[in-house]
Amino acid sequence: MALASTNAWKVNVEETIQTAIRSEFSNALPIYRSKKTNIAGNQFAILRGENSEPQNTMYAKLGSNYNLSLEVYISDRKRNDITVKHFFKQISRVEELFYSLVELNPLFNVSINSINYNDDEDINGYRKATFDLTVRNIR
Amino acid sequence: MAISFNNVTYDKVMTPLRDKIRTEFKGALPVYFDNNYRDIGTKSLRIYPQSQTLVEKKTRSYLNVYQMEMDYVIKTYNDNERALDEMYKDVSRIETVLFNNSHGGSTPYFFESMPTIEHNIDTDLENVYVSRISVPVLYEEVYQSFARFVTSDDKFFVLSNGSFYIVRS
Repeated sequence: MALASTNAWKVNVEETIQTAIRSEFSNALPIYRSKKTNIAGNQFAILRGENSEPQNTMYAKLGSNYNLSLEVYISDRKRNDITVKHFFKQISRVEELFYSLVELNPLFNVSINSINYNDDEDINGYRKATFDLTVRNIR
Repeated sequence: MAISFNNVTYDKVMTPLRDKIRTEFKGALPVYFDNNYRDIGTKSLRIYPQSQTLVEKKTRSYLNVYQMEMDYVIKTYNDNERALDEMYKDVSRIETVLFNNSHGGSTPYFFESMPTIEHNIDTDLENVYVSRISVPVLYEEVYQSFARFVTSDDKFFVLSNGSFYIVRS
């Protein structure tokens, strides 16, 4: 008989993040999971799982730290102070969203370790912020 | 439901720094936000954050350090010492402005440490001198906290469409 297991990466971690962003931004910030970067409108986000680290507890529950990156791209062709302000406003909204709403799930705890604003692999005409996330989840 | 939030990086960190430098130079030094250089005037100052890093996460707030990068650019077509002296003078002045404003008063930011300066850095720009001023800025943001609405028999109040009520805690 096959074991009953939870697809923690998909169900517990990545879909929780996707659902939270879709609930907050509706269609204004499409989010998808992919290894490649495909342009999906004027602003979009890509979620990538990096690795997970077990907590090594020997209880009935399996706890792990899941490390992910979230890249947020926002088109900026005018490149003035107003568009810079809009970019950072969206980034702050995502950041606040993680702390305010994502932790609603009692088995879910997220830390934004860092956000990097400079990257050599920029898409021309887009500003980019790369979130370094750690999610602690128990299943 | 949209959450309420502050534009922390722009309003609480970048703008106060820019305004203090603008007040000091009174239009003599154009200051702008961008991750790329703009060709404006003989000299200019570009401000942009490199990154932000979590220092401490608390129950209702998070403390980040914002690595702010400021590039002072002055054009010089003759590669002369006058431009070099002008750069040293202006950068020292900027450093002093930052030193005197290491905390934001009504905007409660604090410098984690005093600014560091790199002179004559290499860029892809031609006929310019560039100095880079880096300053780590601490800012703590209080965030909204929500919780699930749990009924007396310890069940979540779930709607027929699968969503649930949340309440501000």
